Amino acid sequence: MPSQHETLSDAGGEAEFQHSESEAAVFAPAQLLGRCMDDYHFAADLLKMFTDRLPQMLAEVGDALDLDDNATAERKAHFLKGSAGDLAAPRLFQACARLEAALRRKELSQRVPLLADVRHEVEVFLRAHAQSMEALAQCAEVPV
Amino acid sequence: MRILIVDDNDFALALLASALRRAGHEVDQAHNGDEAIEWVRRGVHRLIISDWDMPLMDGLTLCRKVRSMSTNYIYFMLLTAHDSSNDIVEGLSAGADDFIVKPFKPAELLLRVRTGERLLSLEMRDVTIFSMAKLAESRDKETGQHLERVRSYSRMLARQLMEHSPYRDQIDDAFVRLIHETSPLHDIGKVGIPDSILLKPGKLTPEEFEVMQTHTVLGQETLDAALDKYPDAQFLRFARDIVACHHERFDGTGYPNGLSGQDIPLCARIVAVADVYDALTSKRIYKPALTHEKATEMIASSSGSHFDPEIVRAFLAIAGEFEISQRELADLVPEVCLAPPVGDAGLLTGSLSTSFASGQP
Repeated sequence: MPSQHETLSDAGGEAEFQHSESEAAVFAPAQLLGRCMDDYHFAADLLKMFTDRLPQMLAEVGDALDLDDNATAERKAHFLKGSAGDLAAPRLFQACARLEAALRRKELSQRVPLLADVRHEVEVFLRAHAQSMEALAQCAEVPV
Repeated sequence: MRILIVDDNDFALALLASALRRAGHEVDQAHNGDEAIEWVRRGVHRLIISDWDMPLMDGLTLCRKVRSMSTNYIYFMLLTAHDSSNDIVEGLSAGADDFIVKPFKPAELLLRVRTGERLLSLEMRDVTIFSMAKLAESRDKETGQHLERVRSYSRMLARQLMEHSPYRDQIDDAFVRLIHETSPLHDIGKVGIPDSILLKPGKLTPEEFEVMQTHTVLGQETLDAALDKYPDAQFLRFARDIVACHHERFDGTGYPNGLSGQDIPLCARIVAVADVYDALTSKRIYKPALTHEKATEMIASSSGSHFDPEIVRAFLAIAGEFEISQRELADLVPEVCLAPPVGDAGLLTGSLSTSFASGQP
């Protein structure tokens, strides 16, 4: 079982535990729990809500880029980045930050590959949801 | 404290609200700048935490708008991923008081909120003291710069006692600051004394003097009521002690409670000397001003009876500074048109016991 500082990371498309909260973590349960002042139920509710909303938030970024509305895409990427940061999802946060920065700098050739990165990180995060919930419970020392 | 949080992101709002509510704050939420401005118009928040990057109106613009509105000072904290020095300069220029880097840590957030609360309470304290002192002064304009002089003398005495007296363990910089700030409130209770007595130019009858003496109790009751509501407000407790006890005498013959010696709060014993020195050296409609030398002599002769001997010793050590301060803060009183003193002649020639037992406090 993971310790309080163990996190989820992605390896070859499969989420697995990692023994430090590195920048590459898919989900950092201790961070989220700390941000929720150790209220496991509050953290779990937020995590579930974020997971539920994630496909829609990703779609909004993609839709704006499809319409070449870079300003809206930048704003939506910023929103997704902020949410990922708050919910302790470092890899998704970083992917969104790269897309947002490219849009701000108007590096339009980077839009497609960077959106693909974001999409990939969203998929990884969604696939790892059950494990993330379990890791959160372990971190909070709540019986699963 | 009631805090307004502003962010277009529900997750950020939820996390902020949760952390703040767990710390006992009341929290309102706005999803954008316009909603925040509506809240600010209601004037119920003293502290705002706003995201910097928001659509329609960003946090900087919101901060500028808040600053341009005629409201009480609002402590404004920006929540931001912008943490370069240029960003900080831009934020401060817009009027922000503090920054929290996202994603925030609750412990840091709450500490910074506490800092904001502390600054706001200092502002509130200053405003409260100033307002109350001015209220008291408005009832008795004849006393001119009396409040300024009393606070100056009180601070000088406290500093001297801090450095050279057995009271040095009881007096620190905070004590000196508090006595400077709160000593002008010593006669706050006079707002409850009828004009016919407070403004009477001549000697008070025994009955009138009895009424006049109640200003200490009236002031104490006012501050006690405030203390009931804000029991942690140290400055109110300090002010209450001064207001209630500055007419007590070291030998127990003062009023309102006949306290003696160390039972009289130290701050009140200090203000007693400052207040009497100023009364003696100031011209009143019923008496001329005594010279500094005469006043000093009278205070010295009252050591151990009216005044704490240690405080008189401190006074005598810095009497020269009193004289300088008295000149610097002297009232501009016309030399003519003074009514002859009807009573209270003890101030001129008698002992302090005589003068202050029979005339104006």
